[in-house]
Amino acid sequence: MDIELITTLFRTSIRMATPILLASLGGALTYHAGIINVAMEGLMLISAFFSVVFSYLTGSAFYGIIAGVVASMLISLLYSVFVSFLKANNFAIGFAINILISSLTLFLMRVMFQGKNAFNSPDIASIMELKVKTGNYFLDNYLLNFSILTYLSIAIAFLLAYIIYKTSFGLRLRVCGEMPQALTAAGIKVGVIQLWASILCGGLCGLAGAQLSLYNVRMFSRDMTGGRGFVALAAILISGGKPKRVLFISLLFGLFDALSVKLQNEKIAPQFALMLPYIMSVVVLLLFHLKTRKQYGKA
Amino acid sequence: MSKTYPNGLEALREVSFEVRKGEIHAIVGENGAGKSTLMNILFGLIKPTSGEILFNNNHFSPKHPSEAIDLGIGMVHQHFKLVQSITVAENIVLGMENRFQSKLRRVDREAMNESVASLIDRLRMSISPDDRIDSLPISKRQQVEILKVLYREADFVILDEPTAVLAPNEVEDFLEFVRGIREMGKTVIFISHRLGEVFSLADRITILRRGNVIGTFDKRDVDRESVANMMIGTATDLSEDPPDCLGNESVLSVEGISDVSGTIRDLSFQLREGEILGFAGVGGNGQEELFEALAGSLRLASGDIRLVGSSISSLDTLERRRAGLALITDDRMGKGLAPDRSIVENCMAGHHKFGKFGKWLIKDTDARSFTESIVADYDVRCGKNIKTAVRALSGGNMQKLLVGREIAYEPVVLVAAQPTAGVDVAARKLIHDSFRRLVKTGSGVILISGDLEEIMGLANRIIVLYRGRAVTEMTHPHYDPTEISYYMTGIRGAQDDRYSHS
Ligand SMILES: Nc1ncnc2c1ncn2[C@@H]1O[C@H](COP(=O)(O)OP(=O)(O)OP(=O)(O)O)[C@@H](O)[C@H]1O
Ligand SMILES: [Mg+2]
Repeated sequence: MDIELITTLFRTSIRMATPILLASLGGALTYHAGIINVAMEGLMLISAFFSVVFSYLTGSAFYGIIAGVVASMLISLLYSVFVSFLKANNFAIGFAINILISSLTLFLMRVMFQGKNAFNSPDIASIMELKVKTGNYFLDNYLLNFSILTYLSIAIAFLLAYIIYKTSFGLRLRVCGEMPQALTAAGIKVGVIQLWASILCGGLCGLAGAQLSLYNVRMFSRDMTGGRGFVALAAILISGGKPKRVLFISLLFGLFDALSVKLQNEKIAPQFALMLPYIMSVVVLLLFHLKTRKQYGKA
Repeated sequence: MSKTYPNGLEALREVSFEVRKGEIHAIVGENGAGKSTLMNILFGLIKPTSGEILFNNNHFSPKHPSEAIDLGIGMVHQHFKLVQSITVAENIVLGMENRFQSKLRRVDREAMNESVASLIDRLRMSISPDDRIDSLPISKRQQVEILKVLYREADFVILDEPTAVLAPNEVEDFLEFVRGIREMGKTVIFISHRLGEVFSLADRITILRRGNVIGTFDKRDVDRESVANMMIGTATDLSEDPPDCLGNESVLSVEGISDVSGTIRDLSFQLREGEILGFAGVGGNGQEELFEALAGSLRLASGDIRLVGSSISSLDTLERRRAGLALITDDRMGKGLAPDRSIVENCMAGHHKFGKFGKWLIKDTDARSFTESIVADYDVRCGKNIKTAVRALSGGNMQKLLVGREIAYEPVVLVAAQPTAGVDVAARKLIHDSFRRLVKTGSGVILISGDLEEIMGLANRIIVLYRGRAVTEMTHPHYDPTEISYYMTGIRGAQDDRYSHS
């Protein structure tokens, strides 16, 4: 295999892994707070849409990202109010939000941009890269020149590992998921902790959505998240919500995505290539499941 | 104060009582009398239907425990509210752990462990702040639950059955500590089914019966018998003796078992038909492991277990049940019952594997009548509705349900761990009588209990466990509580590997 191929594959993997990583870090927070967040798909999608819109209107990717993050946080707040305070079923509300946002973004796009199923324009500003040319092939291609959100997401993974396992908020968060009654008895409101986790999750899913629509492709198309919210959910469940493991699993999923992109250009049926990341998700889930089963005996 | 639960059950009917500053106020009553309900209202965990609370002459209607905690109220909950996967110290400090945060918001574990360790030392308990809850035996968990409240230095302490699964010497230490709290001018509400504890500790006693207050009495004006009668409404005879129907055949023989972790070491005993064999010991000396070894959920390093002659060591729990074993676990909420499922479903669970309700499909009417007979025989108070979730039962009623279900197997050998934890005097008698009836049919019972009085009143023979070994064995009627407690605490017999006498 020649070095160019490996390099593209690596760079595509990282690019594909970034949104999954961001979303699953967000979902890991609600996971620890006791909510399996199935609304991440919708959160990413709404952010992808508003990021594109505001980036187009203002000509600034930064404002685009902010708009996406705010939109996603608001929806996540709504989700949390239903789930944590009105005690609605989190799956029902989550799927309702996904369906709502799928149609809402399509509707808004058709109204705002004259009835197309996709919107792109050269005026959409792209997310900055860490543009440094050192002349060293390895440094330039393997460490530098990625989206700034990629670097940010890796930093966030380590930050969250610290927050979840070292701080007081993290302790409360974990107790919230495992034994909410203990938290109530200690005089702490379970709903408030879940609310904070959801808001942060919204923010991170917002970044994920922006990365999807404002980097590399710079467009919004109908349902462009394409199930990544659920891939992120798989990453969370496999890793047990541990941020460093989430990082690892997301990179793995990114690699499958990159392979799928690569294979579409080869002679293999493109339908099969598109299936690859999902098949691999199932395989990885299975492998991890068998491994944990071994650890804990057959119970 | 009145409380009607959403399912229409009237748990409290206009009860009124008053607690004086600086006293130890006991609340006694049968299972389901409404004690926990009343305490949960005081602590802000549930809202009353009507009524009001005056706390230091101020109106007080807490909507969340945080409001009660702010006023200096602390509560030990009947069903532990402990987080399994975190440490003892974290459980205790939870809610105040932000005091230990550094500038970088990191919780300083060392400082936290130290502050918890100093409290543990003062109470002369033997727990390490670094242990995880899921590795602790049930009596240690109870201690953690107590520590949670004492750590907060609350001024008004509610203790809802804090001693239910403690061993006698632990109870003594604990009662001593509660008296110490009173010396410091704090107020204590104490709930227990053991009238002995109530009388040794309380200044005043309030009696609840089926959601009504019968009255509040000064300890000097009443005695045990009269309190028991007022609780139940009829006179009962509380004295007990072990059954007298010993056969000769051995139904269960345990031969030199040791577990992999080395908690139980070379344990051997025989259980004869018609016999109740008691295991006494301070919690954590191998009782849980013995239970698990018999149940089939603990890997043995050596030794053999035989049920009526045939080895069951290699069988799993279900196969052992098929072979004639029934099990009453001490963890009713976690392992014994599924709290969110209905009473019917909980009664059926397990029995359905034996084709009791039809081979393929479950016949609803059979399941119902089976459940109704257990509910009636064991006096499970559930407001006549067997579809209610088990979580809505009072603690003692859950226990009765569990006991009833297990005895319904008509087992050859029943293994019972803390079978009367949190059960009132009448129900305790009822459970004990059901054990007596069971052994009359030729079955044997292994009774593992921290309650020495229970063991002495029920068992034909007592083996004392200390550090996983059987250190002595006594036979009815040659029981001597002081002697037994010497063995339990290792003052006597600890050096010998085998019984000193038999
Ligand atoms: N969440 C609930 N929903 C419906 N009924 C309930 C609920 N909790 C308790 N009850 C019922 O209220 C009554 C009083 O229960 P409570 O737990 O206060 O009894 P208790 O005096 O503490 O008994 P025990 O000594 O067995 O703990 C019981 O009949 C019980 O079944
Ligand atoms: Mg109770």
